[in-house]
Amino acid sequence: MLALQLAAAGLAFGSIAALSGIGLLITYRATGVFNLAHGGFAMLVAYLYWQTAGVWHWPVWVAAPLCLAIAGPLLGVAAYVAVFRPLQRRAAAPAESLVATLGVFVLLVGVAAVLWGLQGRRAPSLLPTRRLVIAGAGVRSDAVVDLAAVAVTLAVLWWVTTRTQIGIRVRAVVADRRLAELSRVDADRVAALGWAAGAGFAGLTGVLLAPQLSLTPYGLTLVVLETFAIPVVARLSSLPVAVGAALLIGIGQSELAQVHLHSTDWASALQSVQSNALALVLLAALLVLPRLHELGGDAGSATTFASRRIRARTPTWRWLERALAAVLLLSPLLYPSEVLRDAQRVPALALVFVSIVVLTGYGGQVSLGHGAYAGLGALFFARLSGSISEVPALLCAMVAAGLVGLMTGYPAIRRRGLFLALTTFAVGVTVSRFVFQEPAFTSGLQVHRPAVLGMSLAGDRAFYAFELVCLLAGLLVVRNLRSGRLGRALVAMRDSEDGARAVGINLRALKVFLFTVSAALAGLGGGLLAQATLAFDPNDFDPVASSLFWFTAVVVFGADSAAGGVAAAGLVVAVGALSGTAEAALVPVGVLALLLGRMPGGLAGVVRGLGARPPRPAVPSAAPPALSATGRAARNRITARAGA
Amino acid sequence: MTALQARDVVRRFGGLTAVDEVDLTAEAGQITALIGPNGAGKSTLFACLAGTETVDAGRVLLDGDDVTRLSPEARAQRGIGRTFQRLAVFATLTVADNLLVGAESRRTGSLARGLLGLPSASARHDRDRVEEVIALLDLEGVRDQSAGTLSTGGQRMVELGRALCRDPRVLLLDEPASGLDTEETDRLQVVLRGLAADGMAVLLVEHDISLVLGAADVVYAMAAGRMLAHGTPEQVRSDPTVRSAYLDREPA
Amino acid sequence: MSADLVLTGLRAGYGAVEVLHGVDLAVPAKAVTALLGRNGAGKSTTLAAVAGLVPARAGSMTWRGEDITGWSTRRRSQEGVLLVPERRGVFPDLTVRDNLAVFAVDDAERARMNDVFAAFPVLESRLDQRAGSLSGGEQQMLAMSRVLLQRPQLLLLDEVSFGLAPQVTALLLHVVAELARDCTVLLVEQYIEDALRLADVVYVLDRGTVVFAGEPGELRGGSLPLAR
Repeated sequence: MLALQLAAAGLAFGSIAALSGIGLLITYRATGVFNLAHGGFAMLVAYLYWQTAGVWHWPVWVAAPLCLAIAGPLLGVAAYVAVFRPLQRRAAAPAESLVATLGVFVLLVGVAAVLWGLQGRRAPSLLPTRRLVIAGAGVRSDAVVDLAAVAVTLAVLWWVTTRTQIGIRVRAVVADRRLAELSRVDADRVAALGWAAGAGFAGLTGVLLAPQLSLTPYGLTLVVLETFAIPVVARLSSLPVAVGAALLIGIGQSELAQVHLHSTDWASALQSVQSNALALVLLAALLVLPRLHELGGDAGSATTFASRRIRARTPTWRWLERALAAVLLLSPLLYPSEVLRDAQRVPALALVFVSIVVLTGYGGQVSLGHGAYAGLGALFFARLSGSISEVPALLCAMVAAGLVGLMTGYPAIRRRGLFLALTTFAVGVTVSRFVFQEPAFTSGLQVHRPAVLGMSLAGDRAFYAFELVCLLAGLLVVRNLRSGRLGRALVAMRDSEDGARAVGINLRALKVFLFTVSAALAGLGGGLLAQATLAFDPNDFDPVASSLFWFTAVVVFGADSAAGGVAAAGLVVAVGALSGTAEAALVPVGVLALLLGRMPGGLAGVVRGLGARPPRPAVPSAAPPALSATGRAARNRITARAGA
Repeated sequence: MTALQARDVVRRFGGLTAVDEVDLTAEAGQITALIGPNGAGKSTLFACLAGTETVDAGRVLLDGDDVTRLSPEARAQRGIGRTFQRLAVFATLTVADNLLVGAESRRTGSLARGLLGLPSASARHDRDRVEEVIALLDLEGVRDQSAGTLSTGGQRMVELGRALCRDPRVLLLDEPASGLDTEETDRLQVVLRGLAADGMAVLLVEHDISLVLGAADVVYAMAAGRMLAHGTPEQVRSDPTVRSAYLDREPA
Repeated sequence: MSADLVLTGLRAGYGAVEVLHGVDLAVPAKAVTALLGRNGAGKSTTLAAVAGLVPARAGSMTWRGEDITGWSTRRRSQEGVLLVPERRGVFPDLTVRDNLAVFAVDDAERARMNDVFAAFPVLESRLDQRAGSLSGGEQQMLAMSRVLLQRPQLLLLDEVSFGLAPQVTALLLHVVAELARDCTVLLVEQYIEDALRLADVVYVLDRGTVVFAGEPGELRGGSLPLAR
C-alpha cells in the first residue's frame, strides 16, 4: 500500500520532469539545437507567474494563460528570431549554437537575479493540491493532473507527427533541413514552432516545479537542467522513452524513501541519492549509454572557440599589454583594505578561468563542470589545513583536484561535442550535490591563510602578493602548454583531430593530461578563493553560478587567451563589486556571448585585431585558367545564340 | 613484399553496401592505384585501411599483422602515413611546424617535460628530418606561412610532407592530385616514384586517370562496391568488365 | 533558343574557402546543359549556388530575365527550381510513403503519384520501408520522384549516377531525357559519354572557372581542353 502511495507521489515529479524532457526534445528535434537555456526559460516564466499571481494577486485564469501560453512561447520565439535564426542562416558551427544557448541562459539568470534578488520566493501552486482516493490509495490531485498533461501531450504529439502534413514536414526538416527547403518546406516556421513549443514546455515545468521548491534564480534552474537526463536517456530521439524514463525516475526516487538502513552513514548517503536521483541518472546515462557519439552533432568541437587567424603582434604592443596588465594587477596593493578584499578574488578566479582556457581554448575540450574542480581544491585545502601547514595543504589540494580531473576526464573524453559538455556538467552537478551540499564534508571548516618562511600572509596585502605569485606560476605553466613540442601537439589536436590522429598522436592521453592539468590549476584557484574569503562557501561553486557562468565568461573574453581569462576575472569581480550585486556581471557576459558570432575569438580576438600587423595578404588563388581557343569560339556562339 | 592487405573487407551503411567483400594488396616498392567512378566505394575502402572507418567483415593486415581493430593513431604508429581528400592540415601552425609535429610524433614524448618547458630530447633529430622533407617537396618558399593560408595544392603537399616526416612504410594518398595544377601533378608523380624506389608502399585513390596510368605499377578498379579487376594499367584498361562498367564511360 | 538561366561573374564558397572564382554560364531553355570537370572543380557548388544553398559573394544570377541572386532557397524552389543533390536526395528516417508526402505539396502534384510508380515500379512495393534501408539505386529513384511530382521549370541534377550500377544509371538518365522536353536541365555528371549523349550544350569547369563552352560534338573525339 505504502509502495503504491509512494509511486503515486513519485508520478507528480516524474510527470513534471517528463514535460521538461519533452520540451527539450521538441526544440532539439525541430532545430538541431540542444537548448541549455531551457532551465532559464523555466525559471523566468516561474518568476513571472509568481509576480503576477503571487505578488499582484491576478486571478489564476489570467496569470496562468498569460505566462504559459503567451510569455513562455514568446520567449522561445524571441530567442529564435534574435539569436538562433541568424546562426542558422550563417550555417554556424554547432559549438557556436551551444555557446549561444549558454549566453541566453546566463543572460536570463542574470536578469532574474538583478530583478528579483537571490532570496527564495514561495510560489503559488497552479494546481489544487487536494488529496484524492483512487483505488484505495491516497493521491494528490496535482499528481493526477500532471500525469494527464503528459498523456495528452504525448497523444497530441504522436498524432501531429504521424498523421498530419505539418507533422511529416517537421520530421522532414528534422531529418535534413537542406533537403526540406529544397522540397519547398518552410523550415524557418518549423524552427520557430520548435522554439515556441520547447520554451512553452519549459515554462510549464517551471510553474509546476516552483511551488515544490523555493524559487531562486539558481536553485529552480539547476533542477530543470538536471532533467537533461531525460532526453539523454532517450538518445535525443524517442519521446515515449523519454516519458517512460522520467516517470520511472520519479517513482524510483519516491520508492527509495521506503528503504530503511540501520547505519546512519548509509542512511544519509541513501537520502542524498534519493534527493539527487536526476543528477545521478544524468551522469550514469552519459557514462554508460553506448554510441552517444553518433548523436548530437559536433557541438563544442575545438577550433570554433579560438580565433582562426593568428596574427603576429608588434613587439611594442605586446610589451604595452604586459605593462598594462602588471599595473592593473599590482594596483590593488595600494587600495584601501575593503576594496583590496574584493580584489583578492581576482587572482584566484583568474587561475580558474585560465584553467578553462587551457582545456577549451588550447585543447578544444568543453568543460561545463569546472566549478567542481575549483570547489574541490577549496574543500581539500580547508580540510587539510587543519592537520598540515597551509602551503603543503594548498599543494596537496592542487594535486587532489588534478587527480579528480584525471578520473573524471578519462570517461568524459570518450564523449565529444554536446555529450562532452553534458558529461562535464553532470560531473560538476554530482560533485556539488554530493560533496559541497553535504554538511558531513563541509561543516566545521576553518580556513587560514598560509605562512611562507615564517612570514605570515594573513595580512590582506601580503596575501594578495602571494596570490599574484601563484598566478604567475600558473601562467608560466600555461605558457609551456603553448610552446615547444607539447604546444604544437595541442594546437595540432585543436586544428584537426583527424590530422593529429593520422600522424599517430595519442589524442586520448593528451586530452586526459589536459583535464588533469586544468583541474589542478582550477583547484589551486579554488584553494586561493577559499583563503581570500576565509571560508568555504558552497555557493561559490554552485554549478549554475560557477561552472556554466565561468565557461561562458571565458569564451566571451577569448577562449584561447590566457590574458583574456585574467581580464575576465578582473571584470567579473569589478562589475560585481561596483554594482553591489555579484550577479550583475551575468548580464553583460550573457549579452556578449550572443554577439560572439560577430567577434570570433572573443574580446581577446578584438583586442588582438587592434594591435596586429596588417594581415599577410592571403595567397592569391592561381589566376583562373583562360578559355582555350576552341572554348572561346564555342562560348561566343552559345552566348550569342542563347541571347544572353 | 606485401605491406598492406585488405581481405574480404565489407562495409555497409544502412541499406547500402559501400564495400562488398573486397581484396586489395599494396606491395612495398610499388605504387598501387585504386580507381573507380564516384560512389564506387574507393574512399570507404581507403578509410577502412587507414582505420578511420570500421569494417563489418574481413581483415586488414599490415606486414602480415592483423590491424583490423586498431585505431588510426595506432596504425600510424605502426608505419601507415596518410593524406586526406578533405584537407586536414594544422591550419594555424606554420608549414614547418606542421611537418615538425609529424617528425616529433615518431617518439612518444614526456608530457611532464613539456609542462615544465624542458626541450625535447630528440629535437635536433626531428628538425633535421623536417629540413630533408622541405627540400624534397620544395616547400622552402612557404615554410613560415600558416598552412591554412596555402592553396589546395600547397596544403596537399603539406599533408604529404607531414606524413613523410614520420618515415612511414605505407603511404595512403586520398586523391592527391585534386586541386593541383599540371606542374604540381608532374612533380608529385616524380616524388612518388622516388618514394616507391626507396621501398615504400604507396597506395593512392585517384580520379585522374592520366596520373594513375602514368605512375602506377598496379591498378585496382572498383565499381558499385565491388572490385572488378586488378593488374598492370594495361591489363586493367583492356579488362572487359572494367571496360563495360567504367572505362568506356571515362570520368571527367 | 533563349537563355533561361544566366550566371555572370558568380563567386561563391564555404567559410574561408572560395570555390567559384567568377563563373559565367548561359543555360538555354528546354534543353540539357551538362557541367563537366574534375572533382573539386566547383560543379556541385555551382548547382548549390543556383539552388540558393550557397550564397553568392559576387556576381549575379538571372532566371528568365529576373534577378534571383538574393532569393532564399525556398523561394527558388517555389518558383520551380529543383535540385536533386548528390547522394542525399531522400529523407532516410522517413518511410517511402512519407518521403513522397513531403515531395508532393498540393493535390495536383499528388495526382502525379502514378507517374512515379509507372517510372519506378519498385517504389510501390517499398512504400512502408524506411528510405535509408533502400538500396542506392532505389534511393536515387525516390529522389528522382520529387522531380516527377513537382515538374520543375529548372532541374538541377548533381551526379545522378553516384555509386550506381550502369543499368540503374541508364534508367535514371532515360527519365531525365524525357523530362528535358519541357524543362530546362542543368546537370553534373561524371560519365562524360553519358553526359555528351544527353546534352545540347556543354560547359567544362576547372578550379572554379569555365574553361570550355560548346557543343558535345566539339568535345567528343578531341582531347578535353582541361587545364588539369
